[in-house]
Amino acid sequence: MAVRAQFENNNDIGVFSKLTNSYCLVALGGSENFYSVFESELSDVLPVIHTTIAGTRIIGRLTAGNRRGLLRVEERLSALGNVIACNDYVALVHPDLDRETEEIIADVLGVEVFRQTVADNVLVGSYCAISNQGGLVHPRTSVQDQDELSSLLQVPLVAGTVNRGSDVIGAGLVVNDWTAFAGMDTTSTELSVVESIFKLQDSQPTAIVNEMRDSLIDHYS
Amino acid sequence: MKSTFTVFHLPPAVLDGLFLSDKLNAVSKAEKPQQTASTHYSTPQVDHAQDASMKDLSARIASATCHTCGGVAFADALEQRAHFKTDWHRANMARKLEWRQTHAHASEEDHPWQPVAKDMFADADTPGSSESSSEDESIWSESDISAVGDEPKSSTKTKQPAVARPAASSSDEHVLVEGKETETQAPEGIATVYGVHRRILVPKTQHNVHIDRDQALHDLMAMQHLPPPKKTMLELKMEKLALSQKSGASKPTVVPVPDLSHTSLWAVLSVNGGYFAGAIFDNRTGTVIEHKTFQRYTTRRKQGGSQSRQDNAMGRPAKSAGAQIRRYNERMLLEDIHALMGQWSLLLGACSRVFVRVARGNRKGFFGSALSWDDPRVRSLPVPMARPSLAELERAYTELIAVKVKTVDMARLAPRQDPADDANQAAPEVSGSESDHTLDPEPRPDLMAFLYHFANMMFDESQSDDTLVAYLAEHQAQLLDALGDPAMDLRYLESTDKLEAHKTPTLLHLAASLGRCGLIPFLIDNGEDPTVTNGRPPLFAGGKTAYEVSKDKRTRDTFRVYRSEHESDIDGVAWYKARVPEPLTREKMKENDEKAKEKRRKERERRKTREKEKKEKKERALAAEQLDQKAMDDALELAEKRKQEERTWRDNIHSMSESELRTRMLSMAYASANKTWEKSGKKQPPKQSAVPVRPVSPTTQRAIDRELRFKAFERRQQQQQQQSVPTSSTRSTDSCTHCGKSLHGLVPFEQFDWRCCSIDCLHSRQAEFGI
Repeated sequence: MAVRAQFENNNDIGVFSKLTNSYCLVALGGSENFYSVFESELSDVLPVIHTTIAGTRIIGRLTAGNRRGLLRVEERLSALGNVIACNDYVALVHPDLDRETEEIIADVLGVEVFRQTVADNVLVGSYCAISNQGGLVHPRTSVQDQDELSSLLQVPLVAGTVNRGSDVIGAGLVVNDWTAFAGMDTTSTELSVVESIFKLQDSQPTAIVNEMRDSLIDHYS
Repeated sequence: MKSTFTVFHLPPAVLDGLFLSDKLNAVSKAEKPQQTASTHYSTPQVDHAQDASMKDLSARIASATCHTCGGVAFADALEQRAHFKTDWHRANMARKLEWRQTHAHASEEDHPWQPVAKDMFADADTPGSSESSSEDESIWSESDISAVGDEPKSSTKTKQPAVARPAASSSDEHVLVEGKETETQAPEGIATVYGVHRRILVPKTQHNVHIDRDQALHDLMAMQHLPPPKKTMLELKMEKLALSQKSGASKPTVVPVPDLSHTSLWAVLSVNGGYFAGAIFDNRTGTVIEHKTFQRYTTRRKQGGSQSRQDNAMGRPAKSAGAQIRRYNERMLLEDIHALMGQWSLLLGACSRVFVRVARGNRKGFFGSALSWDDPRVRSLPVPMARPSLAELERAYTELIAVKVKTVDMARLAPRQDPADDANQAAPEVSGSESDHTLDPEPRPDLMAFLYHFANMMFDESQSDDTLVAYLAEHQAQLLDALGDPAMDLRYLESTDKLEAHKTPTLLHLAASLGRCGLIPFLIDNGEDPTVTNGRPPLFAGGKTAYEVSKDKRTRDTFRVYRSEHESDIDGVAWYKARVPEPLTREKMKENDEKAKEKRRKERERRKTREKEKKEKKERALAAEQLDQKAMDDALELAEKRKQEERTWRDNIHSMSESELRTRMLSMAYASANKTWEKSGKKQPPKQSAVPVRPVSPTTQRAIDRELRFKAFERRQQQQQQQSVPTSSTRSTDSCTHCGKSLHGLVPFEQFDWRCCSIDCLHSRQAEFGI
């Protein structure tokens, strides 16, 4: 199920929340609206936690996590949300990340770490969102790179956008294996692509070409 | 080819047909046998996404490739993942990011991405093997590593691109043995090649070309039938114990063990950055039978390098507490190692090979008295290692004993051999050297001689640049040959009596350092590479490029002008690597020259004016001084004169008679009265008889007057004393001289001997006397 949400009139909800298969972190906001969206979707299965990280509300950008753990470091490239994209098995990281940090990631999150770029961009965490089911990458990612990444991650990938054409996927979308939250600006087509590639609500990635073909092609005609 | 076996367990079928192949040992690095080492690294298989629904996926999942490394394809995701952890991939990734930045706005067609070749990385298939984290300062410099397998390069037959000349590739470190697999039906001309680390079979004293082939093969055969150790470990230890008890000391003892060539024990020792790890392996089982690791704080955190190296570099030992601790620890580490070697001396004595990875400078005292570095069993470990640990030792050992397998088409290999042979054969005809036996082609001696001759010419001051260029133009073919020779090193000049090769390893460096501007463009035009540095390694890193050793500004400008004129060349120089700053057009240079000239001229003028002014000032000062001097002389003279005058006058006064004195005094009185009258504007009294006028300064006049008055006073006093009886009763001292009024209580107005009660009385009196 993919849901739209907004944090204090801001559509970059990936900045203010962190969603994994075992917990969900939500930034402290002026109102409870944002929290309520998550709460209503997840309260039965996951703990949804109000928090700040390092005294800031940009918890999604400062942390990296999966169902095994949550990570935050205090050094160069400390915005882990921007430099790490991970699911429960694999993490793509910024090529310049320290070896120590890389080891910490591997240990804490129990993942295999690959230094990688997405669409020639080093901020892999900002420009893609991946779960154990699939992944959405920067719209400019070449087909070759998608193939390579997909093989590396062992999940299907699609290049796309959120928030009505924003390429900062990581900021506009938080996703786990059965739920996704996207910014309020996200169009229904974008939302359908998200639902398909992440296999939410029984839809399969094949739907992108089969059922959604018309609506996608329509954009370019 | 996917067979993984060790040097100790070669299949009998393979063993039968084995022979050492000359041809293959000379094969270029591009023909490197496929390494099987990647299997040492296991990647957890992730198959959570392998469900059936993925099969007909349109969203793409497939193609295990790596485009960063030039579109390498892999059999499966596991291989791909292993590849993504190699240094090769990482290096390519780093380079690609840089390339992306430099060509951000260029299209892919204009500047296609060119990955580094795999050959550059000796451990291309070994994930993270050359890993050395920043805080664990590696004392293995690059040259150390290449020195570990310090065999000369087995071949540089095919022309390598200058930048991609690797320091050491793994084919260098392998003896390639050719074999025929009887079981497989190999087509004609296809051979299976087995690669074994050279260090295992070839003693370090044997040069590459002089490998004792029979011995090597014999050794390899012998390795297949390892005898059980003559004594079990327990027995060895017991024996040692007994020995130490007998001698009564724990002194390390070397037990000579006869014929150790093929015992089943190998030792692997490594020390790096204060970490030591050593293990003794049983080759039959591949297990560790003894091991020890320890660590001491010896390397400088964050700065890197061992303390002793730092001390040597500084020239004086650092005094900080940390430095002392590290120095102490370095010593203790060596002592620890010696102690361990002592403990292990029996075991080490029983080892048929001792592979050691230790920095070159520390080799000498490494074993203490347990073993000598010159022992033929002691060899350097040809496998790169991270920080010494037991796991690393095991990895290195596995890598060491692995046999690399590859199929080679001998037929295709053959023709490529020819040019190298030609080159090798051509050289000896000139020099008569033995280089035709060498697999590493030497540059042609005649060409080298030409280069040295030219270098000497450059040193000759009497030769102008033009003559040299003319000479080069005459011998251009030879120069082109020399610089284009693939066998020629990037830095080809060796030190001679004049030449310092570590500063000027190429002619271009030499020309720049001697300020031979005229030669520089010609040399670059004819194949000199301005990106070559005089440091190690020759490219990209430390050391200075030719531009940087330039003698003066003119030489540097020559480089910049050359750059401006050849900036747009298609196969132009990578100027940023040559470290030549932004181009300088000829016009601009002329302009700059003009400016400099103008500046110099102005400066000269300014200096001239300044000097002139200084001179003038000096003259003025001199003149003024002279004037002063003169004035002073005058003044002195004058003073002297006046003094003289005064003296004369005083003498005169003394000798004056009464009458004369009186006259003088009267004249004086007249003079003062004149003044008073002039002031009051009264009618001038009639002029008296002429008073002698003399040129006297006012001061002197006053002095004379005072003197006169004093004399008059004295005389009066005398008179008064003589006339004790008042002669003039009417003129009592206590009454006014004029009106006779008592002066009691009044201040009398006095003139001469007059005492008047008021100024009117005095005036009347004066009028009486006609004054």
